[in-house]
Amino acid sequence: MSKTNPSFLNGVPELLVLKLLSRKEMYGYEIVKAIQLQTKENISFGEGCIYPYLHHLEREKLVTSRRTEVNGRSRIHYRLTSRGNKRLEKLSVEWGQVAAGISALMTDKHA
Amino acid sequence: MHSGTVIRAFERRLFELGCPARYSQRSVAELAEHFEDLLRARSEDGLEPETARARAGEELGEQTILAERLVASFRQASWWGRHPIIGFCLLPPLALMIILPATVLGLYALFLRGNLFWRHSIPLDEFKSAVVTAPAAFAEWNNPLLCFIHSVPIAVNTILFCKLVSRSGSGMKWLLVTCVVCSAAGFFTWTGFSSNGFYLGYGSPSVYNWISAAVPLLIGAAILVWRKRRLASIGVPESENLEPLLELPIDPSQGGAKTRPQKFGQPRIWLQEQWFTPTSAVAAAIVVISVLLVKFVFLHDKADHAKMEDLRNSIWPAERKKVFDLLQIRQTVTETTAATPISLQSFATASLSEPVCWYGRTNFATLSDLPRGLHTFAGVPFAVSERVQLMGNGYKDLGIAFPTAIKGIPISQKSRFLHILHGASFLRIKVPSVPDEKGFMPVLPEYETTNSAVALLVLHYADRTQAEIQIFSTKHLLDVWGPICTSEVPVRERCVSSPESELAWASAWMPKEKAELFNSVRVYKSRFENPRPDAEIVTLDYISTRTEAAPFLLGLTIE
Repeated sequence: MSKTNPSFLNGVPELLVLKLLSRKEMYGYEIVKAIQLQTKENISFGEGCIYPYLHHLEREKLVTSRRTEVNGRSRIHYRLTSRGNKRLEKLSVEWGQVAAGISALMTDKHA
Repeated sequence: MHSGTVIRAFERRLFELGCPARYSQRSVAELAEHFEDLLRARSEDGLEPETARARAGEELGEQTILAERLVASFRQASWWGRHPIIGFCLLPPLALMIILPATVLGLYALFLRGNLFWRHSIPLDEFKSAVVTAPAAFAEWNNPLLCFIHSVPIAVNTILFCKLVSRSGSGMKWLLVTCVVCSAAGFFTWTGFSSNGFYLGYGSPSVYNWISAAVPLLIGAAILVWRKRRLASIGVPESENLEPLLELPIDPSQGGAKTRPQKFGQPRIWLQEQWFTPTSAVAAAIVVISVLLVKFVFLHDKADHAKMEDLRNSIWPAERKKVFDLLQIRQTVTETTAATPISLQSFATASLSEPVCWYGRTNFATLSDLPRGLHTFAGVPFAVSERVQLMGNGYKDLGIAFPTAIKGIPISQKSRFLHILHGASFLRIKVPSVPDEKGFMPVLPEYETTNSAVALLVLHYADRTQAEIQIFSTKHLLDVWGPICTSEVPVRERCVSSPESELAWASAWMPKEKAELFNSVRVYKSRFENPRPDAEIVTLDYISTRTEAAPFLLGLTIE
């Protein structure tokens, strides 16, 4: 692991979004609610902020979008691409290393 | 807070930041859906409608900051958005160098098809002849046409870069910058026609370049007006700022949200954060350097124009007069002894009123004002009647034929010297191109026939032997059309190198174009020593060496 990993630390929202989209295709509001629910609202933010991330991921071809009509309402659903899947795997491994490292540090009684 | 107000504020901010319409529509639709979902959720929680709206708006986040983040992310996604200085300051002038010839060629192709200028249709032959003819004939419609031709590619260039600004979401600042850069590029780019076709380049501006420079500014102004109307149609009160606040400090107390300075309360901070950015500093430096460069070029050009005006108005006219006075003096004194002018009347192949000077396929000058009969030129009497014109490849290109040799000119006497009054067309060495007062740059054809034999004099003696005398360009004569003034004209373009040759006559006819003030129709006198002065010359042949040059003989005198 490198001495610093700013890109990874900055990529936490990306990891969360990719992880959620790996389960099923979702639209923006769904993603926000899923994050709030599954993180027990420990991570909260202005909900509109999800869209710059989603659009960025789409431009990077990590997710694709399609417009659908649901109950007379237009939704833009996002879905993970194979490239996004690989990115998710990479980010998950890195996150596991960071989490393990932090956990080890936090539980070290001699620290 | 009304949902429409929330979304319109978001939409307005996106528009203010220069977000492309398609991306803006999608983002607005997405955020509106999100807002509706939040509103339903809060209503289901049992909140009053107004409270639910306010709560939903709060949960959605600050719309203007959200818009700024979206646009910042969008800009970072494209090369143009990441490198606006290169893209919108440096590339437009370079792109113009490609777009200008491409557009002009396209226009010319349309013209050839007869689809353009149909109201003022000019036959193709007339167009071509107007392009290649003397500037006087060309100038009648040259400038408006050039102005139009020049302005179209500049408009295309400006629209292209405005489109790139729009597509990259780079905002109004860069749109105005690129319009100004395109305007400057238009101002300093010139276009023109020569006998060889179309040419362009960067250089001194002419009066018509103001029109070309105004085109990008008009496009920028039109976009500004359209933008103002569009903002009015969105219908939300003016936002606090015109330009994006994409580099705002992060305020941890607001969950990482950016804090917005107050425009009116803290104008200094607002200015610093919006305009005093590193990008703006680099752009400003480029503008300052450009202005200094423009000033340097402009001043330099102004000095050149002043110098040229001086040449045109006083120096060259005075020098012309001096040359004519000198030639006049040389026509009054005969320096030869026992000279016998030979009549060439029966060998003439062209009249003096037939053209000798050509721009491409169009002639513009003759020898018709050359004194006829027995007349002294450069101290030697000649019997001038018509022109003994020989063939040169320059005439071949025009489809005109002359004999390649005139043989058997009777002499029947001994002589020490032979004097000839002669000249040649298509012998031009490079003549300096001087822009006229409107910036038109005449480009004259270059027939490099320097220091080569263009004609021969073959002497046939009574003992059936013969001798050959070669007539060299540059040494014995220069092109029939060329400079007679001295200022700003290289010596090699106005003086022959042989001491036995000199300018014998120059036409007082003056072209309409002021740039041509230093030029005139020129005829030379050359003296050749007879290799066998003790032998009688029976006849003389005048032969062309068939180079580009077409030599002609006007007088022959035996001394």
